[in-house]
Amino acid sequence: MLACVLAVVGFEVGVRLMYEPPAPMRDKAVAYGAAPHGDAPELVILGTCLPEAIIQPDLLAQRMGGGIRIHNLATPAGTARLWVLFLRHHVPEDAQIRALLIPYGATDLTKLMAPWESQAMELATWSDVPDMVEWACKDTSCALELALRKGYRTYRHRGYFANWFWQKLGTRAPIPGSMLSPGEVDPSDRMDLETSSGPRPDGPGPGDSGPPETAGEAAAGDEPAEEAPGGAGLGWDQGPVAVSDTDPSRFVYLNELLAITSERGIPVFFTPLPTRDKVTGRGGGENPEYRKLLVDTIEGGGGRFLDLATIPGLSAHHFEDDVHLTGEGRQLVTVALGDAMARELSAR
Amino acid sequence: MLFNSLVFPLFFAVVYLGLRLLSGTARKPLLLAASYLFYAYWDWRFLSLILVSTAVDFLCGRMLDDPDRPRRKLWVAASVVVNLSILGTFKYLGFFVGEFAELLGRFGLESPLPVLKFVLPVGLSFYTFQSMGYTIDVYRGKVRATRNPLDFALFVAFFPQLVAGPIERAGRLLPQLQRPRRITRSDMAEGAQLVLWGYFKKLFVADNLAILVQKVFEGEAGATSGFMVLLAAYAFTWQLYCDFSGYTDIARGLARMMGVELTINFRLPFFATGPRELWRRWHVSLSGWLRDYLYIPLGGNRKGRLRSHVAMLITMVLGGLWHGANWTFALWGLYHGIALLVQRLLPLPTPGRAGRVLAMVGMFHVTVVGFAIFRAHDLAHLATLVTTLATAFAPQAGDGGALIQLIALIAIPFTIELLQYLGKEDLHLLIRLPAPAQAILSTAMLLAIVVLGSTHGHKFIYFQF
Repeated sequence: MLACVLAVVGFEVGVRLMYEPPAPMRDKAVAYGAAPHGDAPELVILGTCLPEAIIQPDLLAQRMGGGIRIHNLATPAGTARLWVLFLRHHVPEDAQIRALLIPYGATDLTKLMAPWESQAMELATWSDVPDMVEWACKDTSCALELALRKGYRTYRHRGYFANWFWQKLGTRAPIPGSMLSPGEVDPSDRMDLETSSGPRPDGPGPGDSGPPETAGEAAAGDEPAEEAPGGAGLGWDQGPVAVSDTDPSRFVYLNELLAITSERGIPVFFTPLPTRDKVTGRGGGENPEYRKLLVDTIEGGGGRFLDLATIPGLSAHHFEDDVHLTGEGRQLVTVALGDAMARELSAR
Repeated sequence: MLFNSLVFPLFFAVVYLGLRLLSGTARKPLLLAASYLFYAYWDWRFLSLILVSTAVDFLCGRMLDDPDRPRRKLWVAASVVVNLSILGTFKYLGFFVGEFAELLGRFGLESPLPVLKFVLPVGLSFYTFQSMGYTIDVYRGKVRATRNPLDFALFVAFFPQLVAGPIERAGRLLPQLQRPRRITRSDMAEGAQLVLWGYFKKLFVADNLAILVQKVFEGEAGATSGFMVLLAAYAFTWQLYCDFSGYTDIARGLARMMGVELTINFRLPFFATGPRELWRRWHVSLSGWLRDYLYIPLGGNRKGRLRSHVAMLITMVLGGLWHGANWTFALWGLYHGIALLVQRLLPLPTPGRAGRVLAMVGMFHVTVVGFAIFRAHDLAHLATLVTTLATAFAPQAGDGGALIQLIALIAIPFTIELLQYLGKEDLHLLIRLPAPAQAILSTAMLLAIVVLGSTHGHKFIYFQF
């Protein structure tokens, strides 16, 4: 018994000393916290890997008239939950945030991830756990899982270690282009609440563009799987109940984000990212009910919805695929965003 | 509540603490309350079925206790009818109504019966058989009926074995519950060791094998090679064994920690040299139940060879159907019934050492084929798998990895069982290991569970039966 306890404790100590999980949002948040503040107004950008790649900070600052420092903190697999945790814990008191800009795609703002998603675990403190339990957990098992993952790092990163082990044995193939090393992740293992809950009752969400945007995003965080409560069975049991895009449970983190920005007096702007279907007018996949609810939530919470319906010059040939832009396309979007933000901020 | 859920260790810790703090008489109400809570955590509504089964069988048992009472057969029949009605309604009615409708549909007729869909209450087949076995034993005079409803309710609902057995006999379990004994240090140590071994088999071996099995049995037809089908059949055999025997070991270990000995349900089944031996080693509590309460009443060996063969085939088919309402289960039962019949009709001479090894390998493959039938969704799916095996056997890229994974996963349980077998079938080998070896093995198993245990939270397969 003593040997077991010692081994488990020893392994945990080893994990804490030797394993630093990749957590891009935490890394950016820490870097942001350490950067100089107070000498210039700031524009902070949050989002997924799309705005991370699209927005060119220097060009954006220039289009906004200069004198503003741009912090692009968008990261792969960014979600509203991560942004709430960032705003709670990583914004220095002396930061002069002139505006918070969140360019989003698909259901980024309302995406349901398992509450113990590894990036969130890296950012959250114990004080966040009660909220996470209240907002995302439906039963005691989920709350226990969350607490266990928060406190016990070996358990939190077991997916990574297992993946590493099976890859070393040659039983799993690494994903080309994955951002992770050495334990790249099998995307088929990834399972957030949406993908595990089967087809959504109300069809595809707004701007849903199918597969994850990059292998890196598919494998965001360090874990291969963010299991849903209930999990998958042998095909003989039922999975968790599907949650529709318009279910209020999806909006809790967005509401919390709006509450924090409102309390701190930070103007927050949300803008949907262009997709090839939207630009060519062939889309039509948008769920009007979801869009209306999203806009109502944003504006009801004191945020501003910036709909860049048309971006001058942007056409289908500026897209590498459904959502990824060419260099010229990125430039066009940055210019449009910069101009729109300049107008918005000067009007305030 | 699942043994592999995070709530369960908390639940057990509280119950165990209560048991250690309370005196003997107060333990039983605590255990019964805990057992009902354990079941109700899944769905409290189905607790009513346990209560009905318990009340009916307690009453029938009381009525049957007096050997001179008239119309005793009516009381035992009442118990059997009530239990089989519950089982039949929730487990088989929807299936047979559907099959009947399909049969009529083939002749262009419409079924007058509505389509029925029932949720199958977890563990129904286990506790109804256990409870019904009690009344039959009282009827046969093998045990005296208990006068204490609390004892009987606990016998039916004792939580470690409530939802997936072992199916206990009243003569073995009831006295242990009626007169709880002192819990010793060796109960705790040996119980904990069994629990750990059970979790290892379930979380590390079975749940990781499930991923491999699922890719083939739940994957698109024709997307895998015949080689993978073969691999998945081996994998499922080990998955099912480690899942079910893992559950049993956890159940036995938990019960042992509470001072109760449950039946050993698996006795190294993959070392069987023939079908008869397999059923003395695999799911022992069910095969014993079927022998005593079905095969023997059907005539057993007493009414001539032909009748005995027919009784055996009926017993095996019904034993297959006990697992679920699907023709694949019936076919699986029939397959094993025929295997038993072949062994009866064509007895082989006692083999030497090499012959025994050959017989084991052969019997293992008979078992694997049987479990492929068991795992298939339906007969058409089974045919697809066989076709893939026969026509597209060549391994594809990545199949080698699956083979390595299969070997890595079964290496430890196979090695330990081999050592147990070579050590004169010493099923307590793990407990008897020298302390340092035990410490190393336990530590390795614990770390494998924590780090490499599947993260998908699979239910125990036999919960569905």
